[in-house]
Amino acid sequence: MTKEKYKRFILLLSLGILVVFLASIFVGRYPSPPGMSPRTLLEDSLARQLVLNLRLPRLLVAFLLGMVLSAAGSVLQMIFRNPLVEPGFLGISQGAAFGAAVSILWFANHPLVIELSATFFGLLALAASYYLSTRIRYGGWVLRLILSGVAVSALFSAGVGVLKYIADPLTELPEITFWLLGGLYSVTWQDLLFVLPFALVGIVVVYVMRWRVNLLSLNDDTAFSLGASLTRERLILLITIVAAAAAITAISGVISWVGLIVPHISRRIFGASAEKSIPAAMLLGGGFTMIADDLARTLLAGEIPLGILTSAIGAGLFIYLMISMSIKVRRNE
Amino acid sequence: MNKILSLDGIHFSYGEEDPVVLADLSLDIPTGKVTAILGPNGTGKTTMLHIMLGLLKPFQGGVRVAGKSHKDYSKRELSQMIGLVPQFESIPFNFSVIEYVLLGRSPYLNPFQLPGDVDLEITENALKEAGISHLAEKPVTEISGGERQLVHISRVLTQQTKILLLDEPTAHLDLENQNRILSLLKRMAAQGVTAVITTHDPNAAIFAADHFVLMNQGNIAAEGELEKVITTENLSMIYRTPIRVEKINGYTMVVMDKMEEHG
Amino acid sequence: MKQVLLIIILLLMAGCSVIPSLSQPIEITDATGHTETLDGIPDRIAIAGKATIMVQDAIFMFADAREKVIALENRSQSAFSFLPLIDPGLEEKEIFEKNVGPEQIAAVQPELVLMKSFMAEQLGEPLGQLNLPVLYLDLETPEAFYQDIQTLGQIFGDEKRAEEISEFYLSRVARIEENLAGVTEDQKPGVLILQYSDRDGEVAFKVPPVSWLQTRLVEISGGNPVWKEIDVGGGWVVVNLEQIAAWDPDQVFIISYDGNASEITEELMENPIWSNFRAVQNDQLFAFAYDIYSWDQPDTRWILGLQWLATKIQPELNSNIDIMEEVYEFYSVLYGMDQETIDANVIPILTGNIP
Repeated sequence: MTKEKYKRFILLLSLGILVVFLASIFVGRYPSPPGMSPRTLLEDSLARQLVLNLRLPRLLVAFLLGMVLSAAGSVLQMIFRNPLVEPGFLGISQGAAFGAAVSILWFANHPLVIELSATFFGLLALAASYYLSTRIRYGGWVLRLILSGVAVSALFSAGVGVLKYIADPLTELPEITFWLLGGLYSVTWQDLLFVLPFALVGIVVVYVMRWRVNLLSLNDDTAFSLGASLTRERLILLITIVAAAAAITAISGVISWVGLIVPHISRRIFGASAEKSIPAAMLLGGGFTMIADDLARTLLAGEIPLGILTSAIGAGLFIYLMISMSIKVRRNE
Repeated sequence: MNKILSLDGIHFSYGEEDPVVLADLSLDIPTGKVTAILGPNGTGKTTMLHIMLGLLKPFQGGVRVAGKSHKDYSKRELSQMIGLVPQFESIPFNFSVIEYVLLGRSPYLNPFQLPGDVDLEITENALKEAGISHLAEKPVTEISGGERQLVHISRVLTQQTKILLLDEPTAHLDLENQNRILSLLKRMAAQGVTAVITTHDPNAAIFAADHFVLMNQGNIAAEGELEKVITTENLSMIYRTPIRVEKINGYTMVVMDKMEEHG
Repeated sequence: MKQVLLIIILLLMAGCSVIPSLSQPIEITDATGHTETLDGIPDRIAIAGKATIMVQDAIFMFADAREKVIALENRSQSAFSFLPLIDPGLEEKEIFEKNVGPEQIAAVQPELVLMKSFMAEQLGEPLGQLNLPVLYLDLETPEAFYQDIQTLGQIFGDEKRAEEISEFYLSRVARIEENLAGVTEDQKPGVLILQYSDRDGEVAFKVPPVSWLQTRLVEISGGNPVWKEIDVGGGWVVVNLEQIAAWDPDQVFIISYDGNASEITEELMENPIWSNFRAVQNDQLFAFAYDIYSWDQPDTRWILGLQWLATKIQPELNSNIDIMEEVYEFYSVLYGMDQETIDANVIPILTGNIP
């Protein structure tokens, strides 16, 4: 894709996202689904309050969530040379949920402490998945990392279950469905404020290094010969974006499949080079999650856990892509 | 400077308990020439390249690049000095050819920079030099093995280094592509670039190289000009198979003899 | 000779029919349709499985429970908040740990194990494999409740008491139905029941499934449950504040199982968004009544919950209900507590908007 074409696409995408955002402000259950007219917003003070206190922070967090998860997924896929990884598959999201729960129970119920704890356990999970994969003697590299990711995810999910049912007699923790299926229904401006620094740092670092990521996805010896300080650069990228994903998971619960499918779609449209596909993935991811959350809070009177929607749509798209890709291969032969 | 790269008394094994790969090895690489390091697989050729690159550190001995040790170079300076085309490079994502070759400009950009128009121009020139400009927009997963090798070499050309290290650059290639690549290397040498290639194919070495190094089990069995190194005795010993060195119209060729049948 | 034999046989048959059922096997079918044949009235009864509080409270309405219940499961901190008041011998009983397994239950050699209906697969069947008789209490609807009382009456061999208890409940329900006779649809206020849970409480609450007792109580009390359109879920469903604003019900009842419903409703009345709601403006935001346990659940206290709701939802029509009096009646008739004990242990912890 040429530079000019790319710029035009990105501009269109950004405009599209803006339109979705503005439209989402009017979508909701009040005064009745699917949403309100601009006039209602002007005339009804309760509507204004709801939009200001409930919808706006929620929309912004949804957008941020999509951005961060897509960026994290892209970076993880490139650095681990594995198109099947994402925060939810490597135990990062589950570790973050565990860390947040641990903090609420045993450290402090303060947003900053919760996010730091989530970040710590999210990074721990990543390290565990990676370390475990180097010890497995079965299958190729791609498979090993996925296997260990599955194990670490399960471990931390179980951990959340244990915390919820055994260690939480006073029911201080939100329900297990919140942690493991996700949901933005309890998001406030305060949550957004505390997650913003983590998210911004991750997004900015990834954006600035978006070309360098290509280099970090090459063979170790090639990358070395091209002057990369492999370990240091990879760690900087991984730590910042995984911390961002973990921090936002602390307020959203585990949301899977966004980090897997959005980078794939972005690469398909914009090419494999991270320089173009990662910024596009961030925009696509943000828009996708916003739309999914609009559905989660508007489709039915009761809240649909966001993770269910992202999984359903994400996995569905994934299956479609896998099938259509394999058909493509056969034709070439 | 006529010895741009030197190895002095290199002693190397992968781990303390592991067998020695290189033992007391000393070697000078002449500037502006193509040097071929010959030998069967497993004699430590790749290890030697990695040591030259600075990726591996020897237990004993040192490496001098343009008179200085690796330590005297920053990562950036070193990568502007030496380029590598490894034997096996898997590209996990289907970058387009030009996107991949552009990565050769990394030594000239810090981690937070994007390549500019100058970088793009250099990349396009490298593609032209390698004769693959027509492949620029093609995904790397959709080109042939020979074209892929040319892509790797283009990448190292955009790196504009003084030294090129290539590990088995012609293995698995058909004759047309072998010719193309080896001729390209000769052209680069003529422009002042130093090329070091490892190969197990003596004929490829003969075609391209000015300087020859014959390796045997981690030691240098012979080193120098074609006549001195490429002899029937030397090659038969190294490859442990009957080999004849023939001269036809002043051109040296290496052919295999029939193996003796064991009764 | 034949005549003598005939007379002897007839006498024997007559005699058999007057022997107390203690030595005869009894067959009991519970509210779920499950049937057990017991060797006689059981003297050793164990209670296990989830929702033990509700099961316990139902069983201990029968005085014999004190002697005959020999083992119970301790599932939470509040599991034994009430029992010590009506069973001084509680400490000597065998207390199972949470999530007790069939083998430990078998170890105390019960003659009957009682549990909530939804424990059938998990606990009931394994116990059946060990040849232990199991009976279930449903408790989920008033109709099932009456059946459960009958079952308990058979278990304790005290049909008279079962009648008494049923009559207690039925008469009160009948009173409300009489009060509300002729109430039309538009005279029924829109009612919303919400459960508050700690983290989400500011911006999201939960509503009970339509099939649960809470919804039923609202309907019997002459209210219109506004959340009936949510026909999904086997458990509490999260609704966000927007949806609550969209419903804008006439009355809102806040349930909190931590016992702090009153504090929560106070906070909500100060909340800028909640102050826009009709219910808040008309002073119709209520904390659900709670003494030892919340009155909204399938516990024996549902009758208190129902009457309380009735006085809130249709106050004029139900003015003949005196909640405080009902509290005393409940604990004295059903649990044999005297006024002093009730004053000391129940009245002080009554929370929620009572009367």
